[in-house]
Amino acid sequence: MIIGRFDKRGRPIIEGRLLISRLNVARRIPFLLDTGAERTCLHPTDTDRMRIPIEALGGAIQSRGVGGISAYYREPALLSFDDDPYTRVYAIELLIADPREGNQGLPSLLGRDVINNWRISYDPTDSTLECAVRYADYSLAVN
Amino acid sequence: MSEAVNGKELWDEAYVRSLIESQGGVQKILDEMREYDEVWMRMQAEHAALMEKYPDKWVAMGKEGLVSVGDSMEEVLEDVESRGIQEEGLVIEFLETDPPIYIL
Repeated sequence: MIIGRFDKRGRPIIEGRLLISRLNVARRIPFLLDTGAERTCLHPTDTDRMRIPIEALGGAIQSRGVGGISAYYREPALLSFDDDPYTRVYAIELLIADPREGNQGLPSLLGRDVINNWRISYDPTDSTLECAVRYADYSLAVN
Repeated sequence: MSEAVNGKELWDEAYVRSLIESQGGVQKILDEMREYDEVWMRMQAEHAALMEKYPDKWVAMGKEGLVSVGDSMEEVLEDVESRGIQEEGLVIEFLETDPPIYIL
């Protein structure tokens, strides 16, 4: 089971480890579980912490959200989660937001490209956020 | 890319495993994620006290407790880097006293 949590604001958070091999960067990212997001995306606070050089990104696209139209860059990435005794890994096309004033401070989003592979128990009244993996691109066990 | 699963092209598992190994391996990743969870829990437990002491500041917490306070994330990152503290295991939060309402 992948175990998530609710933060002080009551937001459902799932911790994942993001690896972008082309840029040789990796780190843990606290993703907001967002069933409204079609795709998993990285927002500037986490992009900065990963020290991702925006100028090295390509494949710009536009996305539409409640805040209007935003620009993102597409980047192949591996996203892994702790699911003892496995690390569950998904190969995704990550969207990385073009930094602008309006998206500063936004959490990175875990979208349906990943979470549609899970059965999720969501109970903030009991601080329970549990994700049972139905499918993973790769399931790596400890050697 | 070697095979298509559910319409998605995937890399060889051996290649993915080699990428994970380059990060220290599965066990190391699991250990780090659990360690990070513990620091995160500590941050949550001390959140109210930190908010009172450092309103609208950025704070970084590690295994040993609070390690840095600053006016911006960049300031905190520069501080921990200058002191040779491993940044990756830190939980960094902005102690926002009047957070906006997010509709995502």
